[in-house]
Formats: sequence, structure tokens, C-alpha cells
Amino acid sequence: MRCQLRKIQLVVSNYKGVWMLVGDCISVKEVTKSYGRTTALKGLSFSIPCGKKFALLGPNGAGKSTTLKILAGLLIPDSGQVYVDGHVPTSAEAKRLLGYLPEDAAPYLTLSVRENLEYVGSLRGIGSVSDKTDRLLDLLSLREHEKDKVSKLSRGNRQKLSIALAIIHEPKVVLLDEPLNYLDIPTQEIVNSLFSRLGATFLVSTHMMSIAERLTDNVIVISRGHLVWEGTMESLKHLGDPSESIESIVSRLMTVA
Amino acid sequence: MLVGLTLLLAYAVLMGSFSGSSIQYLSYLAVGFIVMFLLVMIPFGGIAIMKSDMDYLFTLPLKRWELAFSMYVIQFLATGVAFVFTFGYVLPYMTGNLLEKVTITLDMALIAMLITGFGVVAYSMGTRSKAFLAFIASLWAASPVFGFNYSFTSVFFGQIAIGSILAISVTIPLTVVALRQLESIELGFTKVSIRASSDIYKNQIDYGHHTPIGSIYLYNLTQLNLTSRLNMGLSTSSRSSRVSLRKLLIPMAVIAAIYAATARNFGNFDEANTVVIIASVYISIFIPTLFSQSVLSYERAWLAFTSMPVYVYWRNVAFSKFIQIEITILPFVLASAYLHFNGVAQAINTIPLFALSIPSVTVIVMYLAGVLVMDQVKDTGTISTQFSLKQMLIMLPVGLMLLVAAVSVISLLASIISAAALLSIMSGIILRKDTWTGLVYKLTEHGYV
Repeated sequence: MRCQLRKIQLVVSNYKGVWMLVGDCISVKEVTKSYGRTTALKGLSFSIPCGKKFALLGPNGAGKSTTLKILAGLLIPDSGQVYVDGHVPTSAEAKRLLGYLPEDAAPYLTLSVRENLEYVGSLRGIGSVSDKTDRLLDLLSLREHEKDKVSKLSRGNRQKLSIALAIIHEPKVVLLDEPLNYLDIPTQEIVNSLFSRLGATFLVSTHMMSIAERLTDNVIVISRGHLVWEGTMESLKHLGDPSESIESIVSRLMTVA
Repeated sequence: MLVGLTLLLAYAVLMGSFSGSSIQYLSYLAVGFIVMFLLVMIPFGGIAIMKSDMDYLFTLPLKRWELAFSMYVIQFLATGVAFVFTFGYVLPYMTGNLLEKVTITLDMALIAMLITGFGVVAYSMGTRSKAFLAFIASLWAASPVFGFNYSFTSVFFGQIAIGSILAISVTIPLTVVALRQLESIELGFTKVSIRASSDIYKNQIDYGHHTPIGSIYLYNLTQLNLTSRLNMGLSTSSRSSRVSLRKLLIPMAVIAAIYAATARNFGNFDEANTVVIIASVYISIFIPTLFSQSVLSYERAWLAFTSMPVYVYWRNVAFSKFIQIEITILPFVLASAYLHFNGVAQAINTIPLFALSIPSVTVIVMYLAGVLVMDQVKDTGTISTQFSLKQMLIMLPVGLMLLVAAVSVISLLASIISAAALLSIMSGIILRKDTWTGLVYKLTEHGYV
């Protein structure tokens, strides 16, 4: 009998005023990763309770994208442990739970918008693919482009499609790398509300504090491959003077590291 | 890279020296290569620029004529690297005096320039003009085969003086036109298809009612994504044309019928076999090269590899690719069977080659493209990175296929043994779980997403 060891780290959480015990949906422990002589992650550790929304902040080359790729199961760490809702990211179980949107995501260029959604939905083995496709086409105002070749789409519409592809299977854990790039303000609002309705655990990598504030409630700051600071958005604001901007506070944190 | 090119040339020289002494056969092959380059470069050839060139280089306060020559040199390298291979087939002829040898070598350089020039000049032409130019140029190149000696390729048929004069008199003005074209060409957009393409897919494929594995097969068995950069013409622009497999069968069936009819109509054994050899060699090169590399270029790690275990996905992609090639090549299998029962007994030798060796090698090349980290095409129109000599190693299995094709045509037993060997290698690649997971990690580390 095949037995899957499931790691559950119990923490106390306050959700809508109710104290409850929940497991971590993302757990990263002492992870290191090098590309040749360059070390991208040096013993990075953090965990995210299920249902929480975290921003992953850090300067260029801090290891944000590498962290997301490891969590998505596209890279393996040199050492350390990573779990997605208790499963290793490369497992079929983790893949079912996970939605991943890389920066500058490109969908399948030789499929139409609708074919992309149906193909990826089908690969993920979700039921009623056509219905879910229709719903996302309408929600993201892609209906008029459903037969368009992806290679001919505008950058904004391509990003909308990429977001739809990342969440078509209604994942429990969502990893997003600069998700609001190329989107106009009304679309950003639509996407934000779409994410909120998912009720998933979010880890959002971004350079823009304004986006981090809109999409998440908590912050993880990393620099040079290790954790610099972790806490809520509110506590981050209180790290500086009342007159100091949040960008300035984050910048200081990154520089100190 | 220049060192690598020199080694490549040395390899071509070596291969050429050992490739036999049948001058007539090699003449046909050399002309065939040139025709093939013309047919690929004129309709599909792009301008060898990178996105960074468009974004930065062309925005610098430099006059375009100052860049034109550099652009031409890059264009020449992009075309010339593959053309170097044909040198190997020409060298065995060089039995004349020193002057003749030097002349033929210079002719080869001129022909490489000629093909480069045609590619540049055709870039901004309309579809019909491109098709017409490709047809006329390749007909002229092929004309010495039919006894017409006033062609730049007649150097391969003993007409060194006439061929050289024609090569010079066409290449020099064409190069001047190409340089002028590079000075003024509009590079803000890139034509990526032989014909103006629509913005929509008229025939939408329904993936919504299939299992995950069923969708993988549906994707690969209904369309063929044309290769990006390292195709036979080394065309430098990537493209995202999807070709219906059903429609592809029509030209394949026509070519197979021409192959069968030509071989059947030759009265004597040697000539019929020459047709079989040439067909086998070309198919052995074309199919694995054109049908394999685009698989990785157009794949999406963030969608496919996060949907199911990587080895499950790739195993099925690879097997569906094998089936795709089986379907595409089926007309040639049938043509060979027809020839076998109609007087060209040796044609049966090619059946294991067509049915097993070529599909297997295509899958092997597909895997090798991953190992060599071929570029991922995220946008159409321009190449996505710089040339890397390492990526040229993808041509090695193609070189191997030349040998396999030659051996297969000669002996049925050798054909079966080589097919079994290649099938075993392909099966090993497909079935080994770690092969694909390791490949994905490697690709991701190199920025593939």
C-alpha cells in the first residue's frame, strides 16, 4: 500500500474573528538553490497558512521567481524541504492544488483563446471544461477574442488569458508573479475580485507595493536568497515613521539585508 | 563560434571525402541541396535580428547604412552555417587542377551569398511574388539536371567557366540590392508566414470533452507547429503557423506519388535506385529536422508541467509525435511497397527506414533539442536569443540519418537492424521517468517557462 506522508503544521489563526486551527498550505524550510556558481536561495524558510494572502517582495535577483518555480515543481531545491498543502510540489496531488502564473506568461501560441482554456482545463482533468471556459471568457471580457490566435492578441488580453489559465481549475494554492502587469485599471479590479472569490492561499511576487497592498494582507521580504522580514501589511507600515512611505520602509529593509 | 564553424567545415570536408565517387549522384545531391535552400529561404527566410536589436540598436543615433553591412554578415552566417554542409558533397569532384578547385570553392561561397541575397530581397515581397521567385530561382538552379547549362549550378556538371560567370553576375547585383534593402527595410514588424494570416482560427478544436491524455494526442495529431529557428534554411524568424495534419497529408501524398512514378518510369535498375536513395536521404533529413524542434519551442512549462507529472506528459507527447510522423510518412511507405511490387525490388529496404527509423529519430531529436536547451518561442517575429554553436549539435542526428538512409537502401537487413536500434533508443528515452523530469529542471534553470 502506497502511503503518502503528509506534513501538517498546526498554527492558530484568526479568520473573521474566529480562532481556528489550520495547516500550512505553503511551507518552505531551509531551502537552498544555486545556478552554477550563483546562489539564488540561501536557507530560505517561511510558511503560509491556508487561505492567507502573502506578497513576496525583494530586489532584483533576490530569489523570488526561483522560489515560485520551486513551489510550482518546475525546479528542485539543492537542499531543504518544500510542501504545498503537505505534498511535495512535484507530486500529482500538489499539481492538482496549485495554480501558477509566471511573469510575462505566454500561453500556447498556436491555439486560440478558447482552445487554450479548454486544452489546459482538459490537461488538468477538470469537469465541465466548456462551462468554466465560458465563465472565464465572460468574466475577463475575452468573449470577443475567443477564436483569436494568441500570437495576435494584445499584451493585456494575453495577460488576462494567462490569469484565466492559471486559475481555471480553481486551485487551492495560487502562485503569481507580477500578475497585474499590462492590465488596465478596470481589469485589475476585475482580476482582484476574481482572486478574492477563489478563497485560495496566495503568494504574489511583485515589485510594486501598491499591487502587494491590493492583493495581499501579509508580506514576506527576501533579499539575496534569504528571509529578511515577515509580517502583516499593517505591521510593515508601523516599522517606519508615520510620514515614511511603505516603499521607503521596504527599500530600507532590503538594503539592510 | 568561428572556431566551431571551422571544425564544422573540417567535418564536412572529411565526410565529403569519404562520401563516395559517384560524380553524377553527388551532382544531383548538391543541386538538390541548393534548390532546397532556395525553396526554404525565399518564402520563409526572415531577417536575422533580435528583439534587443529592434528595441535598442535601431534606436541609437546610427544611420542604418552603417549597420547594413553588419546585418548582412549576420544574415550570411545564419544562412551559411548550414550551407557549409554542402561543401562536403562538392569536394569529391575537385579532381581538376588547382585553379578549378579554387574556382569551385569560390562558387560555393558565391552561391551561399546568392541564397542569402534572395532571402533578404524576398523578405518584404508579397506572398505570390515570393512563391514566384522561389519557383523561378529553384527551377533555374535545377536546370543543369535537365541539360540546360546556363545556370550558376552548372559548375557541378563540369561547366565551371559558365557556372562561375553566371554566379558572379547574379550574386554581385543581388548582394547590392540586399544591402540597400537592409538599409531601408521596415523592421517594426516581421512577416512570419508565407501568406498573410488571419487573426482567428476558423477551425476550432474542441478539447473540452477529452481526458488529459486524450487532449495531448488530439493536440499533436491534429496539428503540426512549424519549427522555429534551426530549420533547414536556418531561417531566423520564429513563426507560429499551425498546419493541419490532414492537410499536410495531401502534399505528402503528391510527393510520394511523384517519387513512385519517377522511380517506376526509370527503365534501368541503377537510375530507379538513385531516385529511391535521393528520396530516402531527403526525407531522412527533412522530417526529423522540421518536425521535431518546434515541440519544445512552443511548449509551455507553466501550463503543461504543472498539470500532471512531467514524465506522464512528455511520454505521451513523445509517443504522439511518433504517431504523427507515422501518419505523415505513410504515403512514402505505401509508395515504397508499390515500387517493390512493380519492378524496383530494392524499394522494400526503405520501409523500415520510413516506418520506424525516421519517426524514432524525430523523437530522439526532439529530446536532444531539450538537452541543448533550444529557444522557447514566446513571441513570433524575431529570434529570442543569440546564436549558440551548441545548438548546432542538433544537426548531428541528421548527419547520422544520412548514414542510416544510405545503409538502409543498400540492405534490408541493415535497414531492419538500424530501425530496431533507433526504436530501442527512442523507447529508452520515452519510458525512462528521470529523462523527462531532469530535462524539465534543466530547461527551467535556463529560463524556460
